Parts: sequence; structure tokens; C-alpha cells
Amino acid sequence: MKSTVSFVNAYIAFFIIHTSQIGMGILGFPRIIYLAAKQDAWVSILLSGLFISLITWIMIRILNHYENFNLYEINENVFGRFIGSIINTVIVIYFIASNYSIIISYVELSLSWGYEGVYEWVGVFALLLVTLYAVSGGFRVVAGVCFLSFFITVWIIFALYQPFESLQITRILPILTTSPPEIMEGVFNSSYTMLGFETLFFIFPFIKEKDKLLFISQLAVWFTTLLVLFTTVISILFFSSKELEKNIWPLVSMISVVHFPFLERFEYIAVSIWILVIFSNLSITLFISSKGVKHIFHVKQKHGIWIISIIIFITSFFITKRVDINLFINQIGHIGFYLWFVYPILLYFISIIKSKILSHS
Amino acid sequence: MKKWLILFCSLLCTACMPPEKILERQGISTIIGYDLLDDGTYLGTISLLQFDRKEEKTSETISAVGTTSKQIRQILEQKTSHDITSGQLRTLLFNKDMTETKGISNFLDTMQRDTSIGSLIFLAITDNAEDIIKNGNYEEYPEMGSYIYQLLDKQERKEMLINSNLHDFFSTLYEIGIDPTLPIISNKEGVAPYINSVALFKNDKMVGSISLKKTMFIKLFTHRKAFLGDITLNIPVETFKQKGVSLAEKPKEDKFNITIHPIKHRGSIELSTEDEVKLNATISVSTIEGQPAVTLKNKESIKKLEQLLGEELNKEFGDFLEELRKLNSDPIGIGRKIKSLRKYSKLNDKDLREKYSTLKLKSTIKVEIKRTGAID
Amino acid sequence: MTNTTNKNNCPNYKKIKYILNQSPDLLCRTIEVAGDCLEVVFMKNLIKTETVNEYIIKFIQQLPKKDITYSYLMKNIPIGEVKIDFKEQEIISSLLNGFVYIYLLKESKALLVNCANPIERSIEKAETESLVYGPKISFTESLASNIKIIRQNLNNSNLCTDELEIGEYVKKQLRIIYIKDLTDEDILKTLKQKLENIITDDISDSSVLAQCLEDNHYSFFPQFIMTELPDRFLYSILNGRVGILLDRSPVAIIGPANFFSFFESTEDIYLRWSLSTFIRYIRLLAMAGSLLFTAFYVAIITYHFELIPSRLLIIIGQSRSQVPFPPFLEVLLMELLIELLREAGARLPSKVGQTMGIVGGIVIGQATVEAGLTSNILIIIVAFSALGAFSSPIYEMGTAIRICRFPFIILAGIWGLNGIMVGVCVLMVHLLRLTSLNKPYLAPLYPFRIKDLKYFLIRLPHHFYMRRPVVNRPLKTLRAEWKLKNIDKDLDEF
Repeated sequence: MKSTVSFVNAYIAFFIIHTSQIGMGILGFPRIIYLAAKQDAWVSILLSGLFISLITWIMIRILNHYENFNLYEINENVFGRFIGSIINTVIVIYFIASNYSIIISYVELSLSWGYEGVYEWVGVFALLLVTLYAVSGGFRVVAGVCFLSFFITVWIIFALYQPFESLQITRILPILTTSPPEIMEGVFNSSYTMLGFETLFFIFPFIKEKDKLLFISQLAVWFTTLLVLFTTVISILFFSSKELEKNIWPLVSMISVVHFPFLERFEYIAVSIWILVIFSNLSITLFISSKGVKHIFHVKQKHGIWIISIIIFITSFFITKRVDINLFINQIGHIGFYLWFVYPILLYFISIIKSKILSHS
Repeated sequence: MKKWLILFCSLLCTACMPPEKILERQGISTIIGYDLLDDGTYLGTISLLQFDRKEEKTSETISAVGTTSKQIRQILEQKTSHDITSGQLRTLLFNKDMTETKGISNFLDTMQRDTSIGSLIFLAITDNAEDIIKNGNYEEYPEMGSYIYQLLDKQERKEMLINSNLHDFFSTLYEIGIDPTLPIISNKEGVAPYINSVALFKNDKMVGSISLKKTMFIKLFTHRKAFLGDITLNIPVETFKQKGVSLAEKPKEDKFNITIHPIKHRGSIELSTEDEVKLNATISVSTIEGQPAVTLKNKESIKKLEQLLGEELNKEFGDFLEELRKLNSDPIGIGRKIKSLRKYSKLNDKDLREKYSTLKLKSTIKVEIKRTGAID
Repeated sequence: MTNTTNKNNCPNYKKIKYILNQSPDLLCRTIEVAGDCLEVVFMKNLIKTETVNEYIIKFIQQLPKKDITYSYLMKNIPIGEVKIDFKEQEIISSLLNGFVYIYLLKESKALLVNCANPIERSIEKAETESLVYGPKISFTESLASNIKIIRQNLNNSNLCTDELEIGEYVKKQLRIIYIKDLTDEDILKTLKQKLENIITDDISDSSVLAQCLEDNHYSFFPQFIMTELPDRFLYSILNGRVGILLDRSPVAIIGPANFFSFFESTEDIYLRWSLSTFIRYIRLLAMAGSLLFTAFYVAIITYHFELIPSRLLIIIGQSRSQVPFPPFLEVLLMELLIELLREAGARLPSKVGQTMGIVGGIVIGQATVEAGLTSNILIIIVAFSALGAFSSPIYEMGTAIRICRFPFIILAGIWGLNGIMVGVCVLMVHLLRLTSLNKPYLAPLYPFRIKDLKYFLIRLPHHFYMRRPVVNRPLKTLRAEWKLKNIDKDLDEF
């Protein structure tokens, strides 16, 4: 059992989990789920939220059983060093890829909304530098970033009161006409957006009051689900069906209807503020992946973050077109689904079986 | 270590700036008009707002011919020393021929795709876009684009227009079961342009036009908070006598004119049987002008007057619906309501239109006089 | 114990004069009484002559012969502060501090008595910080009178004033002031450790000391509060902070400081809660505006003019059309001009200062617009930012904001709105990493203490403040217990 130096209070876990889930996915999400589940998308989202809540409960059970291990150590404990290291490597690659997907999809969004002439690698470079500065401050700084960025950006939801005037209720009727396979396809496609709760596996050792963690993590997960539900339902009511299928970032197009007496075209400001939203995602994924690198290869974390950042920077020269990015995000969503929706259940059962075998012998 | 980092990235930074769009170097186009020429190409006209040091001439109008809107933009760039940007674009004008023959959705597709054009730009139809933009009368505004924008904005704020910006147009266009509408702006020599009537669309082609007054019937069912506009009815005196409504003084002519001011309204569309659609609406009004005056003292007379007004409105509404059916255009959204029912949710656009043309439409409009002003 | 006063360590007058480089101020009064010789050595500018004449020379001359011994003098000399055990270096430093060295030749023993007569500035109103209500005296350069003021205002026996000496070449006395049963032990330990690690020739002023004690030397933001007002000093100490007073310096250091304490002023307590809350928000908003407003101007005019509503567009465009520079250069020019005005105004002698202020402010501002070098709107924005930076009651925070503005302007000029957001991220991370005496800088906000919400966010009427703020982890939190009126009356009862 290792001793971790920096401890934070339990309520921070709410902000970390919630802000890890809300990233770039929510901007384009209504379109993706509408393509799969049509106007019953809200059913898919609620099912997905339920599923995630269950998985979170299982995760807390696993973590409580092991007391102060993070997932890398649990893997090695359950599967042995060799297979455990392979699984850990897959997890590290997943987090690095997830980090890159967020950076490049934000840079693409920003380049479409007013920054046409800039190279992608410039944006990636700037974001990487800021993330490095944040993560090199330690876990406390990363948790603080999540906390502060939540409070600075949560007000964007209130800006959505203006589209309320042009909602049409008939667009969501009739309800429950799509078939269950389509709804399950919607759940599968929503994985990229709703992923982020897996950070619970890795922040567990840093939390002081571990008994409150179940309640707080459930709260965070349901808050995210409700937020995604709200924005999706508003998008479905706001856009007509063909329009929703065409718009790449429905949420941004919706915000473009907002105007104030002293400011028009509010979506430019929303796109810029979105840097703060993804900043917490980038910091957490970089922190977790560098911790994995430390665990597997025994490289110190402060060197690990540099190595990972250089890998991400080099990749930014290659995967830059819209179609590539789309494919990349889809792949990550699918891998993330198997890794974080299915794997914890397996892990739970295997760890129970193993502990039963050990206690018998 | 940190110092080297800062130095390094500051060296890189200066090379990677986004394209500058400094304000006073832009020729800000606030309005674009497209006309269809005989050989199938389009004539695009722009009015540029220029920031002049001497404050003499603040706007300039230029035109170019091309096949796509971006090509027109490129040719226009050659004709001025400022950068033409569409960031402040506020209004788009289309020629009537263009909307009747070719439809405008091709042009609008690029407007949607371009992120520098917002979704709140106004669309309008005119006879000849170039003439309007070149018209010199634009009240106290610096140029024609601002004037037309303020004109349309005022009408929209008072909610006398419906569906006139890009976002509303698209959402009704793409939705199955409802057709969009756009205002028609007319141009006369010597006066500033004014809104003449409202165009009815079928998909993205214009099929007819109605007066601004008649849009009240559309607003009854689509916008709950819109202002319907003061309704003026001319009722022959005989029907008065038939109904038994007493008049305060002798009528001077044989028509009775009354203008009522709607306060609230509520409309609903119901599909009662397979073939019949009931359109019910209730309007609460306060009477403002009646020529000659009517006694409104007791409940009886008010009730009778309400019934009378309701029937008159009903008649007008019935004629209006017939007109809509002949043009096969559905701005009220009956098709949308049908599609929202579970039985018909699988119908597509063509089927809905067929059904729409064979439906029986029954309408009932009830008028409720809430207040009568300062006197009875 | 007494081996310090043997023959070798007690120099006589000649030796002392040699060590002090034949200083003409060093005087010696040799008194021959009853066969014994006494040397009374002192620096003539540093002593009070009446004390030396009356209480030393006259006293010695009136003693009977048998009493002129070291032990008698040591016990009976009528002066309050007498040093008996001392080393040779101490003799010199005491002489230089106004002590009188009495040397008995026959016994070769000596005494040091304090007859110092320092010249001090009288206690005046504070110049750099001013309050509308409340006590207005300020600290002076004399450590003794500062301690006097503090003891007068806080007459609690638990008020500790630990003494330390700092500086190798110029030794200055330093006092650490805290309340023993309120302050957290960790803060004291950290502070004392840091003070012991400072080895330097001279600490010229307490602000230099504050800079040496900081956790992060490269940051723009101050990590200690510097104040001249005793009431602010005592308010912080009563909340569990630690104060440092350095001799010859009228400014006191208070630590640990957090970001929001720089926006507090003791006037917030003296005024009523409604005005205080309002002013607190104005300060925070002014600070944020001062930091970002100019940067927004640059970003919007250079890259994002679509954000401007159409009516403002014409006004802004017209005023900008006369300017030959891009907005970035225009803003930098204007900002540098205002900084120059400010610096020049602070350094000019008062007679010339007022004229220059008028010339600078009105004439230059007007003339640049007329000449077409800047636009009208920019002058308003720059003036607002300049004022906003000084909304913080503590001068250092205002300077930090002034400097911080320039990177934001540069980022806005390069990358527009996204650049400003990246700058905000960097600033946020920087503030999160900053610590003051190992306490997090964003204290009530980031390790979120809900009990302290009423301290940094709003100001409530006094009966809500029965507990001390938790930020400094004081050992005792309960500070007051009032009983508010609790009579239950009905509306028609009397």
C-alpha cells in the first residue's frame, strides 16, 4: 500500500467526475443520438445514465474492497504482473488517445468558428503547454482546475433561456415509437459523451473521506446525465429533424441564436469559454496517463507528462481532417464502451472469485 | 526550464496568428440581394458600410454577376478597396422570379454552412433586389442595409411578422408538415422600401402571397405569444339587426366598422376523424373603435357582439383556408400535427401533402371581449 | 558565567576608539574618585545628555568612596536598562545604539547602561492607505514606538512579540507578533525557519524582507500583506495571522495572505454591511475588468468584429477610422502613456506635480484623439482599466494587476478571444499553485470552506461573525457570543 501525499476532500470528486464527463462530446451529441434513436433519444440517455450509475456502484465496491489502490495496482493484483501490465498499457493508450481527441476536436471547432487560417498544431501546442503547467503542479492543482472551471462555465446553461421561445413540442411527439434495437444503438453511440466517470478509479486514493464517495459519485453521474438530457431535449425541440441531422455541432448553433443588447453572436464567446470546459478534461487525462506510465515503466511522473505531450504533439500533424477525426472519435467511443462499461463488471466478478479462492485456501 | 519554455513558445506565437479582420479596414456588408438574370446567372448586389475619415460617404453599392454566391463575392472583392466580410450581414433579399422558379434553398445552404453568418439574419423577397439596394431613401440610417434590418427587426419585435429569420425559415422548411413564409418588400420611387405582403411557400418555392392582415390566422396556431395586430371588421348592418344587437345611435352607412385589439389568443388543431381537422381558436380582445358605437353595458349585448364577431372571423378564416389549400401550402402546420399522432407518424412529405389536399377543415373562432377601455 | 568580564574582554577607551576608527563622536569622561578611575565612554550624538550628566556622572560623583565598586554600581545605578554579561562585539554595537560604557580601571570590569535618545518621526496619519472611519495613525520607523502602539491597542497577555536579529553587516531587530493561543503552530514554524535561512548583509526595508520570505519569487502576485495601519495589523492578528515588524521600517508584514484578503479593508467592518458588500463586489469586478477589458477591446476589434451590435459598430468604426495603427499597437501606446504619466506623477516634487497631472491627463488625452493617434473609445477603456487596478486596498495587488494586463493584451493581439481564455487558464493555474507560508493562495475558494463564505464573498451584520475564519486554522474559533432579542410578541401585543 503506497502512501499518497496530497489529500483532498470528498466533495471535489463531484467536480472531477462531472467535468471529466462534460467535454467535447456534448456539443455534437444531439445529432449523433438523433441519428440513432430519433425523437426518443431521451430514453437512450436515461438508460445510459442508469447503466453508468450501476457501473459506478460496482466501481466503488471494487475500490472499497482493495482500499487505497488505483486501477493500475488492482489490475496487477488481480491478473498478475504480466497480463496486468498489458491491460494497464491499453488503459494508458486509451487515455492518451482520449486526450488527443479532445484537443483536436476543440481545435477543429475553433478553426471552424473564426480562426480559419491557423495551423492545427499551433492550437494543440498552446493547449498542451497550459495543460503541462497545470499538471506539473500536482493533484491538488488539477482538482482545483476542475473545481474552478465548473463554476466559471456552468452559467452557459442559463444562456439557453433565449432559444426557449422557439421550441416546438410536437417535434418530440409521438413518444416511444422507436424500436428497442435503435434505442440500444443510441446508448452505444452515447458512450463517447458520457465517458469520464472512469476517473473515479484513479482519484480514489487521493480522497480523504472515502465513505461519502458513493453518494457523491452517484450525484455527479446523475447530474451529468440530466445535463445531457436537458441539452438534447432542447436541441430536438429547437431544430427540425433534417436540420438536426445536418448540423455538426447543434449546441453551438443553438447558442448562436442568443443575443444580448451589448453583444451579438454569443456563440463566439461560448466557443472561447469552452477552452475552460475542456481544460479540466485535458488535465485529468494527462495526469492519469502519466501515472500509468509511472506505474508500468517506472518513469517519474514529471518526466512522463513531457513524453506524453510530445507524442500528442506529433500526432497532431497526422490526424487533422474532419473525416479522420470523426472515425477516431467513434473508435474511441467504442473502445471506451468495452473498456469502461463491460470491463468493470468482469473485474468485479473476477476479484470476488479470486478473493473467495484465496480465503478458501 | 520554465524560462526556456516561455521564450520558445513566445517565438513561435508570433508566427501563428489567425487572419486579422481589423474593423475599419472592412467594408461591412449588411445586406445582399440576389436577382435572377435571364441566362440563369445571378446578379448580386451589396451595400457596404464604410468607415470614412471625413464622414462624408458612408455607404457604397456594388453589383456583380456570377453563378454561385461565393463567386459573386469574389468578383465583388475586385471592385472595392476594403475587405468584404459577411460577419455583420443582416438581411438577404431574393428576387421573386428566383423564388418562384428555382427555389432559394441552394443559396441558403451556403449561409448555413458559413459560420461567420449568424442564424438571425432576415430573409425577404422583393421584385428587384438591385433597385431596392440602390434606393437612396433610407431615413436616418447610414445605409440601406441598416434601414431594412431595423424595419424587419421592428416588425419582428412587435411580432407582426413570423418566421422571417434564417433559423426559423430553415426549421420550418426542413420540417415535414409545415411550410415557411417570408415578407415581401416593395420599392417605390421617392420613398423608403416598405413591407407589402407575405409570401407563401411550398417547400422552398414561392407559390402565392397574402396580405399582412391575413397572417393573423397563421399566428393564431403557430405562435402563442405573437401580437395578432388590430383586427378591423366591416359588417353589414342587416346582420346586426338579425342578431339583435342594439346600437347606440343610428348607423350612417350600411356597413358597421369595428376594430378590436387582441390581448391573448389560443389556437389548437385537432384531428377529429380520419378526414376532418378541427381548428379551434379563442381570441380575447378589447374593443377600441366602433363606428358607430355599440352599447356594451349588459352581458347580453356583449355576448351577441362576441358571437357576431366570431362568425365574421370564421367566414374570413374559411376563405383563407381554401386559398391555402388551392396553393397546396400549409403554413399553419396541420400536417405537422397529424404527423405527431402515433397513427400517422410514418407518413412522409408527399403523403402528408396528399392528405392535406383531401382533408376537410372545420374552423371555429371564438371572440371574448375582455375590456372595453375607459368607457362602456 | 562571569568569564566574559575578565581582563582580556573589557577594552578601555583607547582600544574602543581604535576599533571605531577614531570616530570624533566617541567621548570619554574620566572620573577620578577616591583613587579609582572610571571611564564613561559614549557616542555624543546618540545619548541623552541629561541622563548621562544627572544619573551617571553626578551619581558616581556623589557616591561614598567605599561604594565605587563594580558590584555596587551594577546594583544601584539609577538607570532602567543595564547590561552586565556581554561579549566584545556587543560593546561596540551597544555603543552605536546609544549605550554608555562605564569601565572601572582597577577592577577591569564594565557596565553598559542605556541612555539612548533616538530621533523619531512623530506619529502621523497614514499616507498610502486612508480610511474614512476608524483610527488613522500609522506605524513609524521606530520599532519601539510601533510596539508601543500595538501593546496599547491589544492589551492581552497572550500577545507574543518574539525577537530576532537579522542582517550581518547592519544588524536590525525584528519582531514576530502573534497571539499564542490563536495562531496555528505550523505557520510560526515555517516563518521562523524561513527567517533563519536568510543570511544577508542588510535588509533595507520590510518589503525587501517580504520578498525574501516569499514562497514563489517569480510570481507577479504578492504573497504577504504590507500595511501601515495598526488597526489592519491587529485585525489580521486577531484572526490568527502572524505579523512581522522590522526596525527602521514603517511598514508591517502580515502573513499568510490569501488572494481575497487583498480585497478586504478594515473599513468593511467599520461601515455597514450593505455598503461593504456592494463595495466588495465593485472591487472584485473592477479588478477583473481592469485585467481583461483592454484585452477584449483588442481581440474584438482585431478579430471578432461580428460581436459588436450594429448600432455600436458605426460609432466604434468611425472613431477607429482615423487611427493609422492596428488596435494592438494603439492599445500598447495608450497603456504605456498612462503608465508613464503615473510614474512621472509619483516622482515629481509636489509643486510641479499638479501642473503635470493636468497637462498629462487632459491635454495629452485630448490631443492624441484630435491628432488621430488613438480613438475616443479607447481612452475611456484605458482610463477605466487604470482606475480599476487600484480598487484593491493594498497597493501591491494593484501593481500586480497592472503588470498582468500586458500579457493579456499581447495574447489578445496574437490569438484573439481564444488567447484571452488561454491566458485566463494560465492565470487560474498560477493562482492555484501559489502558496503563502504553505497555505493555499486561493484559500476560501479552492479548498472550499463553506464557513468562510461570509468572509470573502459578502459582509453580513456583525451577529453572524461569532466565529473566526477557518482559513488560518486558528486554535480557538469562537470569538463572541451575543444574545439577540428573543421576545416573542404577537402583532397586537405591546
